[in-house]
Amino acid sequence: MRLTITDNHFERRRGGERGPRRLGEVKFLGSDLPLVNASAGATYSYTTLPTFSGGTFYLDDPHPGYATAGDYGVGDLNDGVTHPNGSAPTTGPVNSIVGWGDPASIATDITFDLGDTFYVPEQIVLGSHLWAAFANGAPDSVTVRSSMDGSIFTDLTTATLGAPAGDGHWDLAVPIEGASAARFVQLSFDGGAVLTGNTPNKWMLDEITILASVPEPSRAMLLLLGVAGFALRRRR
Amino acid sequence: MRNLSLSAALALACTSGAHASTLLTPTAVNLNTGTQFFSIGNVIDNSGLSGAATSANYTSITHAGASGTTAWTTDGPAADYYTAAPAPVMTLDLGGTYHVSDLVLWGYHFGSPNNNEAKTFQVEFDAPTG
Repeated sequence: MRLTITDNHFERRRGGERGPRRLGEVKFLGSDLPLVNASAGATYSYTTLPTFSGGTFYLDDPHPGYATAGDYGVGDLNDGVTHPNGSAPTTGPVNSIVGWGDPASIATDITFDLGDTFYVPEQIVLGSHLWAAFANGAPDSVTVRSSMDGSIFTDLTTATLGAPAGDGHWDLAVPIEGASAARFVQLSFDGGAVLTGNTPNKWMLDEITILASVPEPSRAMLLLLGVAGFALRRRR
Repeated sequence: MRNLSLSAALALACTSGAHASTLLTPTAVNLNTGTQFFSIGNVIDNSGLSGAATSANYTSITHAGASGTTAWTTDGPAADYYTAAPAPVMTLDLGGTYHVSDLVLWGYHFGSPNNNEAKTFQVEFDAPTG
């Protein structure tokens, strides 16, 4: 906040002159910005498309022309659908899982274009779905970056993700300190290997939620001129 | 003994009725234009306040008479400041990003209502640019 004192009351003890500029204390009334799911409705892209040598279960649906980079539909990661607990990965629309393998060390960056400038991110929730019988693991770490223009990114954090306890959907929270204004959020995965009960040969995601604060009003600097109304109170 | 409390509320924008208001104390202040006969840091360090101010009680919190440890003032380059110096400008860091609804000020006084006060302000704010 920038505060400029543009005028003073005339000062009685100085015979009506406007003396030095003065203040006792300055504070503001405010509230935390509401968090929204900034990834819902966003577009995103991969540096390495979801794939698995053993089949097509884990592509990003729908995926016409999937073999051509950039020519694929995306949506599994921000459609609000997670794969049900207690349900093995299956084909068809119910499968909202994307995965990388075999091996589980395949890396990818996922870059979200939020479509507008947000204060991002406050927190990222990585949804994963583990299934020991299929050797389906989870990401074990992620680096989060943000950018205003989609080309120059700033590292925000690198988080090590804990090992989920068993089969099913898991939300892995990645808290971020020091949110900044950005339109693009990039998640960089170096592969994954987290799974209890089997050695994973792939790692899975079924939803990514980017919680961010909406800049209101939007990013432009606001300038308001105001004349403060003073309340003068006397106390004994 | 008579104490004087001055407060001002300047509506900025985007008041969020759905979220509880907090009284925000700036974490840092920088005087961009102006001088410091008394330190500018005195305007954000709670010095001179009669108690711990909150959003619930700030209207009843008073500020002690001005001194070099409780308030800020420029030098006095002329009887009428504005004939000799530009308007003072200070930048206040809130330490986070917030909906800001009101500016709350405690004035500068010597124990009597002598109108020794700032009257008109220009308030600007900007988002962090990362």
